[in-house]
Amino acid sequence: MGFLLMGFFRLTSDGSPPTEEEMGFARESPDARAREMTALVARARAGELGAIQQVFREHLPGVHRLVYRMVGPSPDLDDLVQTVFVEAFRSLPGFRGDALFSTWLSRIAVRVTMHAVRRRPPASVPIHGEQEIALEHPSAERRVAAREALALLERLLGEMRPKRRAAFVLHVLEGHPMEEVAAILNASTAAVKVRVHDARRHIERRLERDPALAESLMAGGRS
Amino acid sequence: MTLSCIEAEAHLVDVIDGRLPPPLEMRLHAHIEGCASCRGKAELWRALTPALRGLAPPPPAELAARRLEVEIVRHLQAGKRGPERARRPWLWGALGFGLAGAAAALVLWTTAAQRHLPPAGTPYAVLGDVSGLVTTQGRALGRSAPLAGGSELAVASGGTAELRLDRGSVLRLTGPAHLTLGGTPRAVALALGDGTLEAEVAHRLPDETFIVSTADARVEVRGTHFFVGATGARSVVRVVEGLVAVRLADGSDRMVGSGETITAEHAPRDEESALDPETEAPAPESGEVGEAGGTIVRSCRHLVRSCQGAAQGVRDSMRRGDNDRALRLVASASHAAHDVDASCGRLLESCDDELSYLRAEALRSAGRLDDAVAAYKTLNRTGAPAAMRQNALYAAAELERRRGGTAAALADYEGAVAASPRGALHEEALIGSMESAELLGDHARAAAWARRYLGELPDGRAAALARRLAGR
Repeated sequence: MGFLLMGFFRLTSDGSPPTEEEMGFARESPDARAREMTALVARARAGELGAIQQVFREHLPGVHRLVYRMVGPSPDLDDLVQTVFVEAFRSLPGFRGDALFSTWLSRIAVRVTMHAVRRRPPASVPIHGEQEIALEHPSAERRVAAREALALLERLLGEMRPKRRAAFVLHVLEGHPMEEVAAILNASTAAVKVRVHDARRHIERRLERDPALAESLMAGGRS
Repeated sequence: MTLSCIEAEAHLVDVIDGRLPPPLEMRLHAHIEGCASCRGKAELWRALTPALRGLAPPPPAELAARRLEVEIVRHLQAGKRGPERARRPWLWGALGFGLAGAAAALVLWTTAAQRHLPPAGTPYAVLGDVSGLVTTQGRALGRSAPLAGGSELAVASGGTAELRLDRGSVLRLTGPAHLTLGGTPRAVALALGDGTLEAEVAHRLPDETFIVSTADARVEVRGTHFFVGATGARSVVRVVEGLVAVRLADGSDRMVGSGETITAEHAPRDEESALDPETEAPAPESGEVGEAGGTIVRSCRHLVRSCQGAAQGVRDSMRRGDNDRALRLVASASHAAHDVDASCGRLLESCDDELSYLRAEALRSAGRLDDAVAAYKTLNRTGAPAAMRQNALYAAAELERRRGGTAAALADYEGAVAASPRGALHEEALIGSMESAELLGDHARAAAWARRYLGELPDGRAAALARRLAGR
């Protein structure tokens, strides 16, 4: 039993769950790519326009995804993403490199979105069109399933309080360690654990009331 | 020792992502093995976590990303100042944004005085020219007398005293007056009991302050030339050089430029303070308008300086995220400019355009999108610089498009194309035109824009889209 449990949580690429790279969750690590990004950020900090544009392109998918998960399909989504980058580039002289650039950027993204949510709760718009979910050549059925699942997830997230949602998004969906989430949210690790715990309980209760919901989410996520 | 249920749950993501240290992973599995509740939740989240992570929107499409990039670079360039500022091709004229970099910041609170008690004995200033009786603690002073921090200086009626401060600033005190030299050379804190103080403040470094307190006012300045008069009934500030923002007791801000005078509170003319701006301050330069009307004295040159300083203040406020203050500054500066002679010149008009553009940007940043669109559109006036019109129309179109106003967006994209066919945003405006027309179902119009795009930019980044829309 112990042996089975040892492998219980590990995800493999032979199953349906996509890898981090496949999902665009690639995290920086102390390798050549990280050094390359560090050098790029340094050039951007010096005001080199080309470097600023490259940093923007490199981090746009991650920031866009994080802001989307924080506010949902809001008409303000692009404006928020834009604000995140403008604030980040203006604050770049203050980036000391103590944390990964992506973590620092996430902190700005969360601050911008939380501020916006406090001022004006995001008005979600219906999901439509051809760009509602990231899939490679999906079948029509899978596209429908994925679209529905994304809407379900958005509804679940939308039912959470902003701080709880932020902690859940950053830890469970974005995969940041608890300590990193605490740093991003400027909260204690204990507080973050409580928020993630509460968010999990919320989703578990919803799934208990509607078992089909779990199936839909998993089917959509596997699409 | 096994983990608690809460601790075990807190490590679920870590073990899924394979970053849990082996000993801790062993403890986690030991807990789950013996806890039916956690086992069920672990199974659920083991399956649910990757599924939820897979539910993500795609990154913005190439053209949308390009639009964001253009907007971000535009904002960053708008945020630069001074000599480091890159001159944008769409900027109007040689006015430039950096001319007001030396503008002073002066804040006047008509609330209770906040006197700074000085550290005694600190070398502080040296007396310059002296006329009449000047004393400190009952002791008469002459030229070149050193003054320590904390000195209380008294100038008899009709007398004057010049003080040269360590950092190059010069004070002139006209009696009867009482002045306490507080603070340090880096953090000057003067307390003016009564009398008139003229200050020529050398440029202050970011961590240096220069404060003049009166019984009912506090003036903070970074580098300018101004007068402060105090009678106990009210305070009068006249600015000779630089630009100041005056915050009144009601929280409103007033921009006071060089040549302008403001009183902290209204008082009949016959009760005016010891400072009479028209007699105490230098006369207006030859050829200047210099009309004394109410409490504000203006000239064309001063208004241009004031406007440029206001623009700098607006940009600084926006950079700090204080859009409300930015909008207040724009309103104050615009209000002042309305009273000026129309012959004041193109410089003022250009600066007003810049203020209008900054207002639109501040409205947009403040989330007042309808107002922002309207503000952008006011810049599309006859005779306005083409690059500015293109930039404003493009910004309005982008907002309208995001808000679902595709028809309005199309009109503004098309206006942006027409405004400046060689402008920096020409390609973006062309793309916006053909995309908006297509979104509206006006395929013929979209095809026409697509053909024009291909004719001008056959290898442009939207060439594939244009070829599709053009039916090639």
